[in-house]
Amino acid sequence: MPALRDVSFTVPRGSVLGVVGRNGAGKSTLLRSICGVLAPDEGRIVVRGRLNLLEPGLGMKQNLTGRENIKLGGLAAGFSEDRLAAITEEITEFAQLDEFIDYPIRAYSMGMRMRLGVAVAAHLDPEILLIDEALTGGDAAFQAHISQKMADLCGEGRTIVLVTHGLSSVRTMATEAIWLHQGQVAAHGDPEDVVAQYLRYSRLESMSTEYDDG
Amino acid sequence: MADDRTPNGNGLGRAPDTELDEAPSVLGAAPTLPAERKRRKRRAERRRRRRVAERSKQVETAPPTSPARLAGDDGDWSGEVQVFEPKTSAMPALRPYARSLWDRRQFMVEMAKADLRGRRSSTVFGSVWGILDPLFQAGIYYLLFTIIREGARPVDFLHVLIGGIFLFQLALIALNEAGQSIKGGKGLLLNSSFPRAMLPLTTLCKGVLKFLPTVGVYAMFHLLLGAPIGRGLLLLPVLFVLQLVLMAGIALTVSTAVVFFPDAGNAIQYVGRILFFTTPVIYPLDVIPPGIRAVLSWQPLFALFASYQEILDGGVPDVSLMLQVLAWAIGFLFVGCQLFLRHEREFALRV
Repeated sequence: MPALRDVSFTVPRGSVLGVVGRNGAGKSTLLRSICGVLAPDEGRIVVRGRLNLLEPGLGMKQNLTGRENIKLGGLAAGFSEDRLAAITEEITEFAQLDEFIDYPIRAYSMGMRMRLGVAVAAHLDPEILLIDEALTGGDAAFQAHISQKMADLCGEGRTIVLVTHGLSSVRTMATEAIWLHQGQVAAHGDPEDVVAQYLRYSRLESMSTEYDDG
Repeated sequence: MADDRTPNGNGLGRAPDTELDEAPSVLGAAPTLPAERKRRKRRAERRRRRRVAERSKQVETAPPTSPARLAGDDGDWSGEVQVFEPKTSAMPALRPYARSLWDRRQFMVEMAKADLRGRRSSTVFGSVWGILDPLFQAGIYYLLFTIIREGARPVDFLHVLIGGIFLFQLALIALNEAGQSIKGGKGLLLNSSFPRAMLPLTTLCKGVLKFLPTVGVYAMFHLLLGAPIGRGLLLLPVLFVLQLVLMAGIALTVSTAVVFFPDAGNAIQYVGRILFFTTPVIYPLDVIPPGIRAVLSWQPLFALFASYQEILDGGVPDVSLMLQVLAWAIGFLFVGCQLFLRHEREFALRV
């Protein structure tokens, strides 16, 4: 059974596309297809620009320190060691990890891992940044921090695709939004509208569940 | 300025605002009146323009200290265009594939080093185990061999045994660890797009790094035991390179097989054991009856380890033996590349 059907859209450069939808709606499949991890069965995906996919926790080596993970992530993205050495401090500072950067990742809390993941992805010079569920775990201060960083990136002409259950993140950060439902685009357009439609649907559905239960 | 931002122009997709209206029909929500639809559309468009305008303002006010800025900062981009189309089992172009692997060589080495460091930190003796383990094995097999052969030729085979076990342990990595590398690299596989052959090659790289110190240990044993030093030793680097090529071929073949037939993962340990006993590692070549040798020579590692044994014992392997090694190495690399590269796009779906 296909995870996505007839999904077709264009994301202009410099915009933030928020993607909302229930679990299993195909959001992560969409991101993985955009970055070439999963091949489509039909259709075509054209990506113009250097991509960076961020899914906190995945791809990080648990027994390595934060610093080593930064190095590996950077080398995988094609950075030279010198350039990485120059941005490691900046990433550490952004992720608010201080001395913990030299501790193995397995000792990190979920929030710390998420912060490191976001910091690495955001600093590796992506032209297109795909973010999956990264922003729902951080505290309020970090949320503000990352919002600012994303605004900076967009300001520089980078494009962001943000998949999240945090509807407020979509409302405040996205310039466009898509609501995916059962693998199809249920709505696409202004984030406020899309989120409102999604919420209305979710409320209707929970009402009908209550009715069924009753 | 806001309106200057145009879509990427890739011909995909419909205009965003038309979907707002189509959306409710997808889910069967209550239909809206046309006037209401138009009003909503205009409102949405106004809001979208406002947002884009706000972003544009941030372009002008963004501090120039940001670490990651595009060249020129005027909307230039790297020029990278990637097109992902339905999966096919066609071979990708080899030259760009090899280049993109080569570009990631530093990553492979660092990843291998980091993995080894991580493993060492969990035991007291750390990396010394990489040397102790084959030495203990050599000791045990030496004892066994001496008992079976009732003390015949005990000493002059010890260095061959030690060298053979060091080299065989390296060879086994292609089957065990590299064979499982696609399954084991699930996190990386799902997280980013890279030439998938990077995973088995990283494991081979780790094997070589682990093997390097054993060269020094072997040299020490070779000298201490007074083993012969012949001109055949000059062929060792050639054989070693052929071994690496053969290992790459085996790793690519096995790792593809394990993804498509998970049961193959269970069979690997038995294959490894069979290979160990059918390869001239723990017994000298001259104890094998000619009839059995003819059968065993069809085993991929036989010619390689027979050549090693000849060299470590002071001789020079036959040209025909060396050609067999070459044929196995190239043959396996060809088969491995065909299998792996034709199917690597399916890996993410199957792991």
